[in-house]
Amino acid sequence: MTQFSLNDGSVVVVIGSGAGGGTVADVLSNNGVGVVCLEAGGRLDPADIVTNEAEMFGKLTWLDERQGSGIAPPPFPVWNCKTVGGTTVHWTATSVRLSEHEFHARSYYGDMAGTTLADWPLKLADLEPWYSVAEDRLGVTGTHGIERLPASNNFLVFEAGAKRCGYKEINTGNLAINPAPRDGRGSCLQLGFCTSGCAVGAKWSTLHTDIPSAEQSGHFELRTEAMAVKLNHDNNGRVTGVDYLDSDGKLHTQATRAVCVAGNTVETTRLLLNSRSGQFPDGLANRSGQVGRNYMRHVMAGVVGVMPGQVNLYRGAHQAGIIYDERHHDEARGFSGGFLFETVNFTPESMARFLRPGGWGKEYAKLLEQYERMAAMLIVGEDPPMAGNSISLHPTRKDRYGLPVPVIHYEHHNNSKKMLRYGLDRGRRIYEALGAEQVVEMVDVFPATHNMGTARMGNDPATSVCNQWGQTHDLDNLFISDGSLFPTSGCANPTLTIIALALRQAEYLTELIQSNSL
Amino acid sequence: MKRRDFLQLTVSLAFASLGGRAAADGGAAGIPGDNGELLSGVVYQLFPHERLDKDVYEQVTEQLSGKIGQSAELTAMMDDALDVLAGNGNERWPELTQQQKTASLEKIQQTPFFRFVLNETLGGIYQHPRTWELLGFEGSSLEFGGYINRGLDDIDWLPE
Ligand SMILES: Cc1cc2nc3c(=O)[nH]c(=O)nc-3n(C[C@H](O)[C@H](O)[C@H](O)COP(=O)(O)OP(=O)(O)OC[C@H]3O[C@@H](n4cnc5c(N)ncnc54)[C@H](O)[C@@H]3O)c2cc1C
Ligand code: SF4
Repeated sequence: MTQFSLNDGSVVVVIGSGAGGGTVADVLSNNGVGVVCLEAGGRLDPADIVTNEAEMFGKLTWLDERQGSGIAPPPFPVWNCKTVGGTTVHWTATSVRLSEHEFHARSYYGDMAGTTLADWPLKLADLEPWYSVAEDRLGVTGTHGIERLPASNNFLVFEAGAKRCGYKEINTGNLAINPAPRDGRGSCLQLGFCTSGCAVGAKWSTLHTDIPSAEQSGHFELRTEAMAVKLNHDNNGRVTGVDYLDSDGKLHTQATRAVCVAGNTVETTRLLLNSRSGQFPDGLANRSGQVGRNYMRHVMAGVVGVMPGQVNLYRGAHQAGIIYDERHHDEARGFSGGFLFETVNFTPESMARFLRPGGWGKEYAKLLEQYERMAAMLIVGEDPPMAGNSISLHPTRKDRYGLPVPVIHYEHHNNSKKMLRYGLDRGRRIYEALGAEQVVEMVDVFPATHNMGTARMGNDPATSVCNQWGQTHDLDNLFISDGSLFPTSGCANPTLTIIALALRQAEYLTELIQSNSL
Repeated sequence: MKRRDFLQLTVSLAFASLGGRAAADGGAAGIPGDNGELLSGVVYQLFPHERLDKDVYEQVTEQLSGKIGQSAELTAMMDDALDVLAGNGNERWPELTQQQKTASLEKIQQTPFFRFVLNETLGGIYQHPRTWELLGFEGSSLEFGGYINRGLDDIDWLPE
């Protein structure tokens, strides 16, 4: 195994080994650039991954204290993982590209009061080649000649109802899940426990692909249970090293040539804010004041239908079903931007927790007894950025690393409320078209699973944190490599776009390093 | 325990593992006397499935009492909460009507103790294989080669 010394300033330090970090680390190291990857979590063996939701939740989840305010659930505002592979161990693998209009939200939607809408500093055409590489690396169904996954009962209900409502673009989705063995990964057995980590490796995760590939390059060192706590800089606008705590709580500093931060938005933001200094009193790379602002997490709600016959929605991949018909922008619906319908699974426990949070009593128990007959879908929609939706540091509370606890504040914009109302009504109709006996809406009950916006890209250093390469305007050798970069959210699940941006960034950074311009 | 710590505790329990599996071992003797009886009554009232084996409720109550017994804070909170329930007239819990039971639980449903019990009970009951059987959830299918050839698309009632 390759090892780098702490004072080897030639390495790129990548913080986080999930979608963004794993991708950047793999490309850089295979380009011959030395990489030290700091990962706060430990590394699971394949044998540690079992098909038990509750047990895996304990093994995977980031459980250090966070606080939510507004409609972000107070004790558990964000759901992500602390483990090698990050949240890609746990994700449901929906991999959809953004649409052209979503790169130009400000131009298309106009001046939406109360928002900080902006156009991306790049367009779909710039990202298309990288989307294609990303889809190939992940093995996304419906791309590169890869078949789509077979239909499950939950999908068949969703599809039949949608057709009755006049929807046309419906399929089992674009998923980073192998229908047949590919790229050293097995095929999906439809276990239905995708969020527990895929026990057969059919679902793409940096744990199974990018990290092992980086390790084989000979230019990569992974340090697990290594929590980055501060980025140090010099007077010439360069990051010089990364302070991190090891598993015994001992502090080390890794010297560095460049840093890529991919801690999944909340942690990326916290690290920048915690790295404040005399030169950067409001947080590193925060001359614009935008770090931590414009936090987005998608309009997200669930619809559960109690159907006339059995559905057994737990059988099969979590999210193998998408209706694309509402993803366009059409002001006639009464709101800007679009949304996707996606099928979703719940175990009895998660159904009991989310169907009616805090619910109890005879009626609730009766409703849950209809579990076999339940069909379920999510609405995933574009939420506009707002300056007040933010990630900030708690003034007094510290977590077990001694770091200020992050406070996540999120409110719906009026546009999102209108989209929600419309989407929930349409979702309800899909199940009612098939004679659903009861339809239950799950609104504002989920912790955030998609995190975006708090270090936005833009051309103007006064109003954005990073340029189109994810390079911070304030420090040339500091890069952001996760969803924090998104100026707007679009409605597609974010990870494919995070990966496409990370691939593009990694090639750009390689060029800078190899031409000695950094 | 401060409120915030308490919330934190509930989070780490929320959705998760500690609920069902962890601690049948801790103080199985549980909570003695009237409080014990009251607690088991509460557990049933939270998710009363008539066709679910009463053993399941007993196991959940036992685990719950074990956890409460190990924490002075929880024990104190329980005593307060159960005082409210017990002080509901002269009847003992088992003799209350269904309506009276629900009404008295509603009185304490905002307390942290109630939320703790609700969270634990939910985990304990809905992670239990007997409940899965009742609800028709088949659980892990890895050992059977997945659902791919085991009912993935066996739906038979959809209209043409
Ligand atoms: C239930 C669920 C389902 C999802 N399904 C989908 C889906 O279907 N499609 C989709 O597109 N997206 C999905 N997502 C979102 C997806 O998981 C994330 O978008 C993606 O993983 C983000 O990549 P990332 O690299 O930013 O962060 P992560 O993948 O979360 O990786 C971040 C890593 O950084 C580490 N880290 C953080 N801070 C530090 C630090 N200071 N020092 C060292 N290490 C640190 C963390 O431990 C973690 O391992 C889902 C998320 C959840 C929770
Ligand atoms: S459903 Fe498929 S992808 Fe999901 S965990 Fe099972 S085998 Fe893996």
